[in-house]
Amino acid sequence: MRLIILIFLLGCGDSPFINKETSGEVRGIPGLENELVFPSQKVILKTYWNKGPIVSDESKLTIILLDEYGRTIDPPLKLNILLWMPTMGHGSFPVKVKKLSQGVYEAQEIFFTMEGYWDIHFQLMENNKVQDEVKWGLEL
Amino acid sequence: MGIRTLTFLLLIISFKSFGASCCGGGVIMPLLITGDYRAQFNFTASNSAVTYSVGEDGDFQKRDGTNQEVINTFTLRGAYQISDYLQLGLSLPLQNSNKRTLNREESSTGIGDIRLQMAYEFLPELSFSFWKPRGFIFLNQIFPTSRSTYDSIDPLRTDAHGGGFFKTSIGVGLVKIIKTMDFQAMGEVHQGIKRSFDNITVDPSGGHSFLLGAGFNPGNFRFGSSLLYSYEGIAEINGQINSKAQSRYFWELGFNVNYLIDGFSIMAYYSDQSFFGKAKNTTLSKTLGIGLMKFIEL
Repeated sequence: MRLIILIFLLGCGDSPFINKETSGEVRGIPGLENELVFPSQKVILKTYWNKGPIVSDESKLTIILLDEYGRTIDPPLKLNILLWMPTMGHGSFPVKVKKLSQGVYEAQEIFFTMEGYWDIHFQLMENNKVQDEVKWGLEL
Repeated sequence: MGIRTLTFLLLIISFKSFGASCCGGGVIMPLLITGDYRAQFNFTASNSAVTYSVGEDGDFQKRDGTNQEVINTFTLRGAYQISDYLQLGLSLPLQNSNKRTLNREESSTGIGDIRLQMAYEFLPELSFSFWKPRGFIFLNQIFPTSRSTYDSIDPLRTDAHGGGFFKTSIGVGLVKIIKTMDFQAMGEVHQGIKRSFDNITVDPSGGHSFLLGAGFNPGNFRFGSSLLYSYEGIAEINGQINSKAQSRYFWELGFNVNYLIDGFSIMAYYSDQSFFGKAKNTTLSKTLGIGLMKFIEL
């Protein structure tokens, strides 16, 4: 009986053999904003986090699309955002893209469902096919 | 006593089927009748808490109160002996997954992946031997009867109760009793079948696992421990995303206690996938469970 109690008490503690533990802080692009370019469309994409990024809760991202002269423009094709965890080989809940004004969008319902490295894929879609794509990596 | 002990040893092995939460279960275990029984049934209930996420470089990241994940699993298993050496088994899991973050709580209950198994006793114990174990070879088939991480519709993916693939496994189990001690060894290899989801096709490669166990049997009690290793190979994803998922593995330490009474076996068990501090590209959990088993005589 003492052995059983000892086993269950051990279950509450941490293993003494774990020697590579990380803090869980965001280790992506400094400043948590980024600038990307859709190569074929020559559209500049600027991103700013409104909320998050955070694991297992909703994060929100503001996206501003600019032409080569710095004017806000709507994307020439449908803008799609996809979360993907490349090492694990799975994605997440579909991201909702809401237009705020010309060239200004908010990505809502961004759910990073677990810790680790994530790619945010920004895709320009035509007939459900990806015509152009850029991605942004974040370590959460 | 020997046959009964052997019987619940193998059922203990079958209880050890807890894999990492995002990965749909890490190992396939047999449902074997090893005593003079026509059939046997068991029911287990377990509570599993994810305690760590592990990156591809082996870095452990501890889950805190802002990101809690708990999975309750209720599994009904049955096995039926269709001839002296040939038997069939079936496993029906029901899973309740819960996630809680700072501002959001999500829960989902659903059936998990159903498993069918055929086993053949290739090394029967027909006469006493001090060293020769009983040996079983088994073929196990998983059916993706649940949503997986590839077709989940809940934001936090609590509805992903399964692995997502038809998966076939072949393995060998060995059991030996020496006086009041018992020993088990088991190994299996498995292969998933390529499958298309909404906008991607996933081609899983193979994996393998092995388990070693030992127990001490004073009277109607049994005190056992086990060591499990589980490995899943890379998976190729094509479609809207073209990507290659990295391989993953974990080690698990388990303890279990059994008590045999009037044709029933009652058990409690505990397992820890983070104990050895060795894992890659997965989530790790600690599990507490109880179980009840009933034998049907020939």
